[in-house]
Amino acid sequence: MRTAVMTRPIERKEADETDLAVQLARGQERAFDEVVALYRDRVARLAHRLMGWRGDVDDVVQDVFLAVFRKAKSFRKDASLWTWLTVITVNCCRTRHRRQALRTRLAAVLPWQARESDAADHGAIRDEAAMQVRDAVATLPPRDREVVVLFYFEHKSAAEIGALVGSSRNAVEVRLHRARAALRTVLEPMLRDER
Amino acid sequence: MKDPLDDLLARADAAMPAPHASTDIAKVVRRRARRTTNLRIAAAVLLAVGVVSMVLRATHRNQILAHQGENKNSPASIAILQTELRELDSEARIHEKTAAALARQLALAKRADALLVDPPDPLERVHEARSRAASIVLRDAERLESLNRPEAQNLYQNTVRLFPETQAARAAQERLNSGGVIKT
Repeated sequence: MRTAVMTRPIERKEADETDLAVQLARGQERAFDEVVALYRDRVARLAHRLMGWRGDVDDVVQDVFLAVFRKAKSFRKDASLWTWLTVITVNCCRTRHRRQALRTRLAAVLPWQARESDAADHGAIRDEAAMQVRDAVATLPPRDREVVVLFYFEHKSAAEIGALVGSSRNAVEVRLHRARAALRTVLEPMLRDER
Repeated sequence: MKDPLDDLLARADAAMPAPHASTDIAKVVRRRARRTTNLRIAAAVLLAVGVVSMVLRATHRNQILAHQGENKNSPASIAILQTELRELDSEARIHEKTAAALARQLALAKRADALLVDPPDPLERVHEARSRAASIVLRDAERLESLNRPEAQNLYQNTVRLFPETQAARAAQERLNSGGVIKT
């Protein structure tokens, strides 16, 4: 069931979060520690999904909180902390994708370059069907995957996703439509069983 | 209508164990931020030293060329050229020592960083490196003075000129004012 598996927001009162955001914007060290403690697993989870459930997300999580540490003073209090962290996580994952793409291109040119193994996580996977679904999402173009992750796992609307990734609502809907079509094609037998 | 992809994706995600970020992320992030700041400061200072050095060299070269134009072969002109070359040489050494002091400072900062000791304020660190470089030049001047070498006067003057508002510059100025230094 959707509600059983979705990532629940950390239970904090809105006032508490605003207070924490204000302290963070003032550059208070303890506020930063608290933000890291509160959101590190959630950021890791989101990054893991955005990276197609592959690889180690520790570096991405570090990059996210490094950006938070540096840009804390520029945080606009009109958005929630999690929304801000989501934007940073999406951007860090994009950077990571670009680096990976570059590395892949380099590996094709320079045969001695080590190829990254995607199989690292697969050892832990027991559920074949779940693996197929994750692989189908992971093989989507990164921008389409972003939209799928934010829509299905973060439960954001197309307009909200547009604001997060810097696209128009229409562009997000087009991406979502394209990604759904691609997923339906690949996962057709499973979807038939679902029905 | 319920989207059939919704449940399928939710189950696939739930089947994958959630990654746990390491617990010392805050510490690691602070260390990375400090390292980047230190590197930026060191790069800026080295660039500034390089630019100052180039400007000084260009100025001296112009002066030498002007002297050459005035009187190419007179013994006085040769003496002036030799003095200026010595000055250039001593300034180059000063900048070299400043850069070495900064590099040492950076290495110390990195070591402090590794031990997670809070480093001092970056601006303060630059002042410290500057004072240290000034002290090195002053010590050189004192050594030359003790050997009755006339170059000591140049070094005292350089300390005052290149590192104003440092303890070493004040000491050098006092030494020059005392009139005890052999004049070049």
